[in-house]
Formats: sequence, C-alpha cells, structure tokens
Amino acid sequence: MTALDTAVRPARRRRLAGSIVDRVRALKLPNLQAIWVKERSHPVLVKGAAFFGLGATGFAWIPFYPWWAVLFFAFVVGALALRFPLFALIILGVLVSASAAAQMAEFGLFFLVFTLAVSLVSLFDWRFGYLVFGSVFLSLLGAPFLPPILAAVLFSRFLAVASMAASATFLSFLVTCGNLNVAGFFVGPPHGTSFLVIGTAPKPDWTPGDLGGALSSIGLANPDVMSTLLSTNYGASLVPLLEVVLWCGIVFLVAELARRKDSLENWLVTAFVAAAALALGYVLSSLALGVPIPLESAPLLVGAFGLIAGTTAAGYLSKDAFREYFMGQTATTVGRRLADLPEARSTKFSLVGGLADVKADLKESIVVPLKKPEVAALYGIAPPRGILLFGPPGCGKTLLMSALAGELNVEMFTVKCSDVMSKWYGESEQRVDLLFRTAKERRPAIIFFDDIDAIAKSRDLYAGDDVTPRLLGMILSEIDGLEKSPGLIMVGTTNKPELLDSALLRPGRFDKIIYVPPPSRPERVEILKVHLEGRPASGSLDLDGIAARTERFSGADLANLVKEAAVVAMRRALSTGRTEPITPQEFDDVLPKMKPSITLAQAEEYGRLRLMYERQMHRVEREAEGVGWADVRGLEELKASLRAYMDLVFTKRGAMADFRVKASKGVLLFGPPGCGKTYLMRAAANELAIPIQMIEGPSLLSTGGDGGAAIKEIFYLARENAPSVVLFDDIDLVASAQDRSPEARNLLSLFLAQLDSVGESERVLVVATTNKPHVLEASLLRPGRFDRMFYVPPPDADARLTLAESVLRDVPTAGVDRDLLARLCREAEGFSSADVIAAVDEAKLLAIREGTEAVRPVHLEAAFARMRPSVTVESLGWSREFIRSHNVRLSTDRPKEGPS
Amino acid sequence: MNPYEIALLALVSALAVVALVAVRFPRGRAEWPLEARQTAWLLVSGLTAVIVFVLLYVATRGVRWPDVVTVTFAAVSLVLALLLAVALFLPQGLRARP
Repeated sequence: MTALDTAVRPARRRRLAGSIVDRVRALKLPNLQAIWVKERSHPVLVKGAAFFGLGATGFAWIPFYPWWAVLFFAFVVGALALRFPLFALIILGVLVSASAAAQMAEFGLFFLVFTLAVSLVSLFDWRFGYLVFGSVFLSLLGAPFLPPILAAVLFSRFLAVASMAASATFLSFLVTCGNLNVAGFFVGPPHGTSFLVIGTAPKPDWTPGDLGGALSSIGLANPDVMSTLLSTNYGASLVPLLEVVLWCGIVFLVAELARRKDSLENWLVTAFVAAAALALGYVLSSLALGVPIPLESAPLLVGAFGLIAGTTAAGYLSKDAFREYFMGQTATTVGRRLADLPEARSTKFSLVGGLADVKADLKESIVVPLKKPEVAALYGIAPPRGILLFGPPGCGKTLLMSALAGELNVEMFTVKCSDVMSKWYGESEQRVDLLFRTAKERRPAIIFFDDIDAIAKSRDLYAGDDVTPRLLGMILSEIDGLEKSPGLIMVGTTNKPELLDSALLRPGRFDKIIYVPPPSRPERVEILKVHLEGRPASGSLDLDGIAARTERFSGADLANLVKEAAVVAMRRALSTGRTEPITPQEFDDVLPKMKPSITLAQAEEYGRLRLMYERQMHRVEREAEGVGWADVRGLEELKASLRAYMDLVFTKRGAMADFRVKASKGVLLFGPPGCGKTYLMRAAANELAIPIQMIEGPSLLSTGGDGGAAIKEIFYLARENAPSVVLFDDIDLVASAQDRSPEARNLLSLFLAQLDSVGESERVLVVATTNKPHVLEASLLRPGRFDRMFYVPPPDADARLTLAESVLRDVPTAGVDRDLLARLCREAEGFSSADVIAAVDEAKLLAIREGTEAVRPVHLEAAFARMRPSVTVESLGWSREFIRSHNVRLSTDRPKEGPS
Repeated sequence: MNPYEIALLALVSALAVVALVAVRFPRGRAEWPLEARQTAWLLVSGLTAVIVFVLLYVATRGVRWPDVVTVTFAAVSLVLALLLAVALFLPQGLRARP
C-alpha cells in the first residue's frame, strides 16, 4: 500500500459515506397521513392485515402447523389478498384442509368440500368467504357469531345473515360428526360415537413434506364413516340446528338495529338487545329440549354481552373510520359520488368564472338548508326539494354542481341516464329506488341528475310501454316523498327545459328553476383568466379584447379557445426549444377558425325559455346589451311623455284603479320610417327592466297559418311574465284597411281578440309601430285598444347633429369640426336618424377606401351629398293627416318641420 | 380409479377452476364479463366436454393400446393426411361462417 493510497482511501470513504447519507436524506418516508387518507376510501393494507389475522386464526384453529409456519402461511395469505382476495381464501381453505386431514382424512375431505362450496359463493362477493371462514375459525374461542355481527353493522343484512347461516350449518354438521360441544355456543350432551376430536398436537419436527402427506391422505378417506356418524348422532344434532336459526335471528336483529341510526350511541342498545336475545334463546332451547346447560358454557354466556357490545362498537368505529369506503360501496351501485371524481374534488366556486347570481342562488338554496337547518327552520323556510339548472350547453351547469360538491362536505350522487337505464325489464326502476334509498341513508345529500331530459321527457312523447314514463313516475313520487326526508335535495340540469314533463316543473317538485346564461363580456374575461392560469401567458394579452371578439362563446368554447391557442404556442416552443408564452398572436390565429357553439337562434330561444321557466331569486344584469334612454338622441319631450305614461301604466296601476281610471292597453307609435320608433320602445322597456315580446308583421304572414298560434303564445308569455311589453312592428302589414288578404284579416282578428283578453289588472302594454298610420283599420284605434298615440317625428337639425357626433365618437377624424357637422346636418333636411347614421358610415367607408387614416371633411360632404332623404313629403303628410283626423295630442311641434 | 377417486378429482379440478377464475377476475362477479345466461351456456359446454372425456375414458378403458411410438405415428399421419385433404379441396381453409 502506497502513501498515496492511504491518503486517497479515507477521502473516498468520506465521499462514499457522504453520498450514502445524502441518499438516506433524500429518501422520502412514506407519508402516513396520505396513506391513511387513501386507506379510508380504498383500504388495501387493512385488507391484507385482515387476511393475515384470518390466516393466523385458521392455521392455529386445528393444531398442525408450528408457530413459524402459521406466521409464514398467514403472511402469504395476507400478501395474496392485497390483489386476489378470493384466491387467498382458496389457498387458506386448502391449507386448513391439510391440517384437518392430519387429524383425520375424512375431516380433511369434509373441509375441502366446504372450501369449494364457500369459494363458489364467494365468486359473487369475497367478503362472504372471509366472514364464513372467520366465523368457523373463531368457534373454538366460543365466538363464531362475532364476524357476522360485525358484518351486520358494516355491510348488508343479506351478507351478514347468509355468512352466519353458512358457518353455523357447517359447525352444527361438525358437532354432529364430532365431539365439539364447547365449540361455540352449542348445548347438548356429548355424542355416543365420535370420529373427530380436534386436539392432536403438531409434530415437533414438522416439515413442509408433512403438508403434502396430509393433503394426499385425503385420497384415503372413507366417506361412509361420516354418513354412519350422521345417522347415529342425528337426534343430538337437533339442538345445534335450532341454534343456527337463533344466531341468524340475532345477526338479523343487530343489522336491523344498526340500520336505524348510524351512530355510536346506538351500539349499546344494539348489543344489549342482541345479548338478551342470545341468552333467552339459549335458556329456552335447553329448557324445551330438557338438556342441561353445560357448566363450561356459563362463562361464555356471561361474556356474551361484552363480546357482542365490543363487536358492535368496533363495527360502528370502523364504519366511521372508513366512512368514505363504505359510502363508496353503497353509492357506486347507481351513479357515482361526485366527491369520488378527482376533478370535482379540486373544483371550487372561485374556479367558476362569473355567474355570481347563480352561485348566490345555489348557495342560498342548498348550503343553508343542508348545513344550517336551524337557521332555515327559524324563518320557517323549507328547503327546496328540487332545483333545475337550465341553459345553453357548455355554460357551466355541471361545473357549478362539481364546484358545489367541492365546497360542501355533503354526500352528492351524480347520476347519468346510462346509470339508471337497463335493458332488463324492471331493473331501471329498481336502480332509481336504490339510488333514492341510498341517498336517504346518507343524508344530508344531493342527488344530481345530469341531463335530466333524457329520463324526464314529457310523457306525451312516448307511446306504449316505454320505460322512461315509468321512471319519471317513480322519480315524481320520490320527489314528493322527499318531504319526509329533510336534508335531501334533487338537482337536475338540462339544456332543453321545454322537453321536460310539466309535472316535474311545478313548484313543490323543482321549486327553483335557475337559468345558467352564456357568459357576458366581463364573465368571459374571468373564464379566460381561469383557463389561462397555470399556462405560460404573455403579459400583453388583452383579455377584454378577446372577450369582445367572443360574443356567444360558451364557457366550454372559451376553454377550447385557450387550449387551441396553447397548442399553437406549444408548437412554437417545440420548434424553438424554449418556453414560449401564449401571445395575442396565437389568439389571432385561432379565433377566426372557431365558431361559437351557441347560435343566434339558440340565444333567442333561450331568452324565450328563460321567460317561460325561470324561477330565480337573484338576478344580475349581465351586460349593457340593451339600449337605454341615453342612446336615444334628441326627442326629449317625446321621451319624457312616453316615460311618464309607461311609469303610470306599470308602477301606478294601483293609484289608477283607486281613481277608477281605465288604463289603456295599447300604444301606437307612428311616424316616418327610420326615425327610431322601435328603438325608442326598446329603450323605454330596457330602462324600466321590462321584457319585450316582439311580433313582427312580415314573419307572421310568412309562417303559413301558424301566425295565430304565435300571437297567442306571445300574449301568454307576456301575461305570465307581467309587467311586460308586446311590441308589434309594422302593424300596418296586418291591419291595413286598404289592402288586406284573408290571412291578414284573420291574424288581425286574432290579435285583437288577444288584445281584448288582456285584463285590466294585468300589467301588459301592447305597443304597435307603423309608418302608414292613415291606412290602419278603424277598429284598431277605437278606445280600449290603441287609444294612446305618440308621434315619433324625424330628427331636427340639432338631433341630427347629436346623432352624427355620437356615430363619429372614437373615430379618427382630421379637420372635422362641429361647425362642419352642424352645417351638413342643417342641410340634411328630411334625413331620418337611420339616414344620418348611414351617411356618416358611408363617409367612414370612403375614408377606408381611399386608404387615409382619418375621416376628412371631404368624405363627409360626399357622403351627405350622395344620401337621399327617406322622410318624404308624402310620409310626413300621412302622419299630419292622421294627427289631424285622430286629434293626436303632440308632445312637440315637430311635424311642422321637415320638407314641405 | 374408483368412484371416490373420481369424485375427489372432480372436487380438486373444480377448486382449481375457481382458483383460476379468482386470479383472472379478482373482484369475482363484478368483473365477470358474461351474463347469467351466457355463463350457464359456458358451464354446460364445459361439463359436456368433461363428460365426453369421461365417456371416452370409460369406453376405451378395456382397449389394449399398441406402444406409444406406434400410436403417435398413426396420429401424426392421420393429422397430416387431413391437412393435405384440406389444402387440396378447401384451399381457403375451414371457415365456421361463410
């Protein structure tokens, strides 16, 4: 060894030692808390330990194996059970058969047959085999009923009683064949003949070869021995058979009592009743049969109460400790527990962009009644039995419920149509029944039907013996029964509320019907933020700009948009080899290729459905999408008188009734075309937050005979959603005295009938617009119908100027001043509001066409010069004539203006 | 083999089959892919095969077989002849369904 070696080696040793220490430090100890959390919902280690215990008890039951073999085989059984519980049971049965065969070959054969029978049944549920073997193995300790009693508290009644019956039958058979009177709680005299006495001590020099020898000895068994013994001891076996019935009864009793109240306080009563039943049955059976109670059974009887009480308590404690597992066991039969879904567990209300009103409503309707029932009870508020969320697809109905499950710590069952439907007759109903039963047991709970329209369509849509109407009938009766089960709420979602059965929608069933709207612009910004979180996004992203360009995009569309943009950014990152943020460029690339999933027709349809179905407490105006008074330029006097009139109709109905003033139902707005009659009415209704039902003359005539039904429906809607406005655009198409087709005549009479049917007390205002008032039918204008008339004049020079300025706001201009605009507007005599807007827009187009960066005076002058006034002398004349003939009181003296 | 030995063999075989099923489908019935009716058909088919084998055994119990080499040679020759016949007359092979 050189000097260098001696110098180097300690250094290397130090390095080596250092690296080992580092490695040891780097080793992460298993997180016990995490393991426990996992075990609670999916016990694996507990299962292994339970099988180890069963194996150890089983191998010690009949003396054959030495202690080390007992531990080794028990470990093997436990390890196998982690993945293959039934296989572990079979191995256990075969190994115990060997020890039985070592006592007597016939006993080995007997146990092997028993193992096969138990394994076959355990194919359905391995817990059955576990319980039966556990019961048999514990018989030597005098406590064969403990595993079934534990199962009665933890599992189903059927499993507990079946395992008790199987093990008790086996034990009684064993007692009949042998001399096992003290095994368990059997009473009776020792048999005259016996083939089996368990008690041969294990060989001191046991080898694995003895195991094979014992098993092969089964081949030499003589089955006749057992039949002889059975026939000889038949009379004496009657008592054990009776006790089989007694045990099963006790297990059933425990199961029944345990089901009543899932609490630790219940265990004492349960244990007491069970022990009393056991003692009573025990004494009665021995008295009836004249068999004295053996002395050795007395301490067991005394200890019975303690054993049963301890087992019941252990059952309650384990049920509480493994609550998630047991809830999963019962709940997974129909539907899924939302809390089991990992994405639901991580969803919170804060992750749902926008929808503040819907969230508030949901929280109020569900959280308070479920979590603070005493507060709700104080105010006499019964929790809603059902809540229906409806809205366009992809707008977050299911996400909201996932978030609710994340926020609340209550049981929530999510059910899809496919979970309930079965191809077998009657099974679907059974599943619905099971679902509600399980949910009632797990109160407080929410049953969540996703896309409920799949099973709750109107029953008129089905013919014959379809399963869906029957299911709906069941669901309806279950909802009615929810009154007796406080703490259970049913929630449904649908995007087709009109298809649902009306019986389901009435108050008392779905008490709350909440509309989940497509996101508004600020909500879209929030949703984009949620989806961009955790992704590398550039700071220059203009989310507001993207939101402005994604009108009618649902939440799902926005998620998809962000994903697509992220894909483009990722592609760039892959080519450059470094992290590339998502920039506005990605969105510019992706946006033109994407279409909103909510079509214009759908948006309109949902607006109507909302009026028809919504029953909601909170309402947030999502977007300033409607026009307001401020958007109407000029016409101040008209606006003031219209506002005053509508105020009178809608808010001061009571005062009018007090003064016995008949409020008119109809208002006619007339004036030259393009002067903002419809616009004005929309502004008025929006200002008062009153919904408008539109009737359009041209579309009515083109619907081919259905126009009458459409009018009827619109009036019904308006009356149901009062206060509301019915706006009939261009009424002269239907109500012209000069030129009327039979269809138009028919429609007019239907319309008038509906107008007349609007009651005095109903706050419905019918507004008609026309630019040809002189052609209107006289019947339309008689008192009680359209007896209030407002003239909407063409804009004067000042109004035109205000309008032109508002259209040019935020538009780059060069050299355009107020004087120029004032001059142009002054000269634009006969221009309607629409004309002014069109002229300014034309000027903008000219500027764009020329490629200049701003609108110049020359563009404006050219545009105004090109534009022809649409307010003609003729149309003004019609209005004048009408005003004169019907003595219309004017709010302004405007009609004097205009070309004459 | 006496009847007891046959019964014991059947018992052990059944246990082995259940053990195989337990390894292939650890959750038992929950994972079993067949419906009750299909399962019954499977059991009946399996039992039929077992009975055929038992009957074959019973029928050929008294037969004096030639030595193993002769039997193997005869069996292999028969299989080759069958394959040749199939290759000649059914060039597309045997098909259960057209």
